[in-house]
Amino acid sequence: MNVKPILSLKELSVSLKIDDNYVSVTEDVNLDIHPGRVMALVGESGCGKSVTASALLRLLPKELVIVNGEILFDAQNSGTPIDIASLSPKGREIRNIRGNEIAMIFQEPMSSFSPLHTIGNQIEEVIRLHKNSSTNDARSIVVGLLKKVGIGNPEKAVDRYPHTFSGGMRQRAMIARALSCDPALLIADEPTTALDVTIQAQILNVMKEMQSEYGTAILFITHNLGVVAQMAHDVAIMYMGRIIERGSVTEIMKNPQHPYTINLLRAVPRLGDLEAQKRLEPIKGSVPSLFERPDGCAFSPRCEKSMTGQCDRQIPPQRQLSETHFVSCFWNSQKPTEDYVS
Amino acid sequence: MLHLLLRRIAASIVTLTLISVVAFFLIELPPGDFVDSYVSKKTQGGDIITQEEISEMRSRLGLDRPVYVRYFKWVGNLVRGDFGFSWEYRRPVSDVLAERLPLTFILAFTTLIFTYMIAVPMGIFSAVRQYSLGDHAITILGYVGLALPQFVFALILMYLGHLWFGASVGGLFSPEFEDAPWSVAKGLDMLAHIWIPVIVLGTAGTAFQLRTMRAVLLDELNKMYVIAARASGLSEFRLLMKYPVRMALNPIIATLGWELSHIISGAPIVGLVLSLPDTGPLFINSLLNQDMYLAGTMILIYCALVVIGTFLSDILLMIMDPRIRIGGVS
Repeated sequence: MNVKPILSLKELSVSLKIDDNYVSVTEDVNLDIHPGRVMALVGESGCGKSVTASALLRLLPKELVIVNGEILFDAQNSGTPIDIASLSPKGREIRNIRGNEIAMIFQEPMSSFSPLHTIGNQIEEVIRLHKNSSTNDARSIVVGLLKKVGIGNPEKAVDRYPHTFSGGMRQRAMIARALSCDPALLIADEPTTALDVTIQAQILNVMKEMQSEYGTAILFITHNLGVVAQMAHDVAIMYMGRIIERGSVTEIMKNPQHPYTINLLRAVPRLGDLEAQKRLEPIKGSVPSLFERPDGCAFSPRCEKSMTGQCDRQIPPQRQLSETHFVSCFWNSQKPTEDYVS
Repeated sequence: MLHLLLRRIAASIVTLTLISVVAFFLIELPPGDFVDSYVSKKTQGGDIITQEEISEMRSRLGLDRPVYVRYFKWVGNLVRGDFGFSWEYRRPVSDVLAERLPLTFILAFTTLIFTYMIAVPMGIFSAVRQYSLGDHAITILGYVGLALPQFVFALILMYLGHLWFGASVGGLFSPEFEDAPWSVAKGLDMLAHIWIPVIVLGTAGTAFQLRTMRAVLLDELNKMYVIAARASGLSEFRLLMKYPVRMALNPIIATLGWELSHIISGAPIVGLVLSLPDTGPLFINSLLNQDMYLAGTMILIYCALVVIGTFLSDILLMIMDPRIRIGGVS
């Protein structure tokens, strides 16, 4: 890929600070997000995806600290990126990026708006903060945005309070708020997890439309592989705070190389499984706690391909399989595997 | 909104009616009546009062009639604005109260303002700087304020006030202003005295509201909407004031009526200790002398203040919180 990434994570490590002890939450996360592309960050609950997302905007709670690495952000593709990891989390510089160049959508649409202020007020606020527009201008921008994300009767809706909105409408409004300053990057932290299935599909559609209209790059955090196949251009798979495999969506779906990725894809139910009387294959065991991180590859205790003496001693280095496909695993499957696309 | 308002007004009227019943029977509750306490006072002074005189006095004051007749007569007069006659002072109740009630109101509302002016900013500070030195200091002060009985606190402050300022502590005015008509100088003189009763009456409430503010704000600070607002680039201070503080004010506003009732129920004892020229000492005396129309009127006024306070807090909540104003999902 010749275009420079707008966001590039270099060996980003976040730790949980308990008194004077540090417990690793994410380790050496490397990730490139390119302009106009959707990067899905996939993993089980607690694997560090949301922590990574919060770290990008320096929104981590104070007990979580960035201990190492860089977050290089280059909205204008100028070639001189800013290292977000070096900014003060309360300073003016990071505040100018937040909501303006990098916006975020959260998992809980029900609680992402203050119940005491109108939807319009809370979106206008972002516009007025970053773009010197007057109250009237901001208001008409908000009405336009609400219309775009599919909220009916937007002239009335701007003056309504969040508690009169349904979950799906609130998530639409959240998207409107996130896109209000036309950011270069949108971080979507499980934006559909709290919604029911039909609403999920609608919200994904809205996001896709907005993505193609604004050309915003998206970091899409999810544990839902179906959503990944639908939304993403690139995929990164995370396990216990490390990215164990990343590549384009076809590479990951058609040619997964890490045993964890392979297992994850096998665990997705597919049409036809019922007729074929196939059982879903769960991944054996469960994710160890942060305090019991296994030596070597964190997945090795659960891995069928684990090689004693190697996988449980050393952290596997990253291997490059194609221009975009990287895997961190000692096991090397040269033979092409079956088709995993659902 | 209007519907809600009307319902609140109706509820307030019903509450006041019930309170009038309770107030009346409360005063009837202690054994004996005004005549008994009058007679015992007189005989202690060496006077001889015959049985005829006693029953003549009873029938003159209407005390020989059944309770409910007296109650309805009292309430009937109340509605017409006649609060009855104080037997002790031999003047209409409204006259007796007219001198002192304004001071009670001033004291109660000054205390209320003091409570919130101190509690809200300190609560915010305490929550934002949780576990800092300042937070611990405020917490300790708060607990001392809650634990200290008001009359002890009043005596301590009086002593300190005398020691440090040499002021004529006790009362609300310096002697030269006591009977003077209202003027700017008298107002200033009052401000120089009022801080002692205000601090005494307000400290416990301040400590309580401060803890409430701190606890609620700590909850709100980690809510999603705060993080979402931070993620859109708001500065910490603007963010704090616009969102979580507004939310945390709700329980503070909701307890306004309750806070007022605390202040008012503390006022008589503090008024007595500090010999304030407000209704506090008057109220206690009227109860001791079984001067029932005066006592009844005062109980009613105190309760009415609480009802009004609650009503005000309801209206404020409606203004502040659209969820209460507009109701459920439309």
